[in-house]
This record gives sequence, C-alpha cells and structure tokens, in this order.
Amino acid sequence: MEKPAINLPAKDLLKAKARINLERASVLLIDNSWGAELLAGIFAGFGSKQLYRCSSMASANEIVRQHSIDLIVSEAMLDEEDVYDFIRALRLTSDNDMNRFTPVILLSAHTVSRKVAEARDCGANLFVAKPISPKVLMERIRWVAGAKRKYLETQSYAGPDRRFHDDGPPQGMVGRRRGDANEDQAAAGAAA
Amino acid sequence: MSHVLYFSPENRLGKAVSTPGGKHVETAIADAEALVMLAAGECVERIDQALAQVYRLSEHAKPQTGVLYKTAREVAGLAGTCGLADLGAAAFSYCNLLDQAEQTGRLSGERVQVHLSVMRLLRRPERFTDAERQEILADLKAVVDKGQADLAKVLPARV
Repeated sequence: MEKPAINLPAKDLLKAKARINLERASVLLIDNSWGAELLAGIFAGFGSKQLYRCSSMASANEIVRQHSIDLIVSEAMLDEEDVYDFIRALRLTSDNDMNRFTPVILLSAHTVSRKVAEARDCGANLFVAKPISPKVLMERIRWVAGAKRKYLETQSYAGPDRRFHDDGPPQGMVGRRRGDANEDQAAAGAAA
Repeated sequence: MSHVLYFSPENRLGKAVSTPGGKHVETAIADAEALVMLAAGECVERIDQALAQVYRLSEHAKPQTGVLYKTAREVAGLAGTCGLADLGAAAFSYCNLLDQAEQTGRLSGERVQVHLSVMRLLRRPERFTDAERQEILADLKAVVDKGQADLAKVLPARV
C-alpha cells in the first residue's frame, strides 16, 4: 500500500531530550505472527508497563470491553479475521464508550488491492509500513499522542478527521460538509 | 451534503505519555533497538523458515496463493528489521505479483521463478555490491510493472 500522503510535523517529535512516559499508558498489541515478539520488545524498550497482547479479534474484543486502553497497535491482516471490522465497531460503540476514541496504529507489510479502500475508511489513526523500526514507531506514537484531531461520525465513516488541512473544497466544487467554505471562499483561500 | 457529528474526546494517550518520569526519547529508542538487535538471530531463523515455505508452496503447479501471499508478506515485514532489507523488497514485490494473480486468476510461472531466484540471491546480500542489488530489484520491479500493465488491460474489459 502507498504511504499515506500526510506531512507529519516531524519537528520536535524525536528531540533527544524530550521525554515520553509509556509506563502509565495501557497499550494493546494485536498480532498473530512472529513479528509480535519484536513489537512487544520495542514497547518494552520504550518503557511500557501495561501491555496487553493478543493474537485474535475475539481476545481483542474481550480486552477492549473490559479495560480502558490508551493506544492500540495492530497488524492490519490477521488471517481471516478482519481488523478493519474491529476498528469500525470500536468507533461506533455506543453502549461502552471507554475505547471509542482510542488511537489505532495499523502495521502492514503489504495490503492487497481489494482492501486498500477499507483500510483507508476503517477509522484507524495511522498506517505504518513494516518493517517497523523503533525510531519510526516512536515518531508515530508521539505524533498520535500530540494530535488534536477531532473525531467525526458520518453515515459512511467514523473515526479521526482525515482532513489534515482545511483549505476549503477544490475550485469549482461544492464542499461535502455543512461547515465547508463555499466556492468563493475556497478560491480566496487558494489565492491567499 | 452529509450530516457530520464532531467529537473532541479527551486525549488519554497524550496525558499519559506526558506525565513526569519515563525516558528520554533518545534513550527509549536506543533501548528498543537493543532489544530488537537481541532478537535478530531468531528473526533470521524465522525468515528462513518462511522462505523455505515460500519456495515449497511456489513449486506447486497451482499454488495456494492465499497461504503463499501470507508467508511472503511475513518475509516482507521482517527482513528489513534484521539487515535483509533488499530481500524484504523482493518479498514485497512477490506480494504484488500474488495480489495481481488474485485479481486476474492467472499466475505467471515465469514471473514466479524470477521472484524465487531473486529472493535466493538477496538472502545472501553480502555477495553483491549495493549497485548490483539495486539493479536486481529494478529488474524485478520491471517484471511486476509489466504484470500491472497487463492487469490494466484485463480489468476494464471485465467491468
């Protein structure tokens, strides 16, 4: 899968003297491959003390029902089990909102073409291409932890706002949301 | 125009990671890298097991592309972590080829053999210079791009 067209504000994210405290953050790792060992090792190195590990969606569902989770990191393809369905359900849960807005980072070595749109629309916060490196993962965790993105719910999507910039709709097009700038404003914004 | 509900939830992760204590980012990364290094030998073993399975499955006249894809994907996901990034790139290319096969229902035996040969070569990267490895991967990309072009001809006809 193509890397997401997102310009991460990398400035400061990896400042050597900045601190990160993952001891109190509860992290759920979902992976059924040997890579899960590496991932757990990386989080142990980061200082995580509250790691939940599971290798199936059934266990993951059980954990998110019972515990407040601050970050979910999951392999994107677990055999026949669908991680995208899991995230969609998480975002739409109304009877138990404990983890509805928990940031989700998906890891993927490759995404089959038929799943690309699903991956984009499932409500995950970020995709990280495997092989994972501690440096990249740290950068993404700090970015998610520092993000001030709103979450939104529409008829077809629930999850973090996928708009990273609001420059109004493209010229000649009408906005899709009620709060979108109209065509004239968009043109003025583009010209500015 | 779609109806949109907005939420501004509490950022629990942000609060947790910024509480006093923890580690300097630089230290946290170094500690994690040290643990990854410790697992490198086991990681290479796991890659070799997966590669053996890829070679075995690929030799079938009609390979089970689902299992094959999953195994090649594991190689692609792990190889770069233990110093075999070019092997990982070749495995990623094989995943692309298998993905194309799923869409067309056809898997070219010749393209499969090219990928297997390249993965065997790049399992021993020290035998080649950087330039040679890049040339091998560029040739492999050309093979998959050709398949993608063929796919583009096939798919519109099916719509």
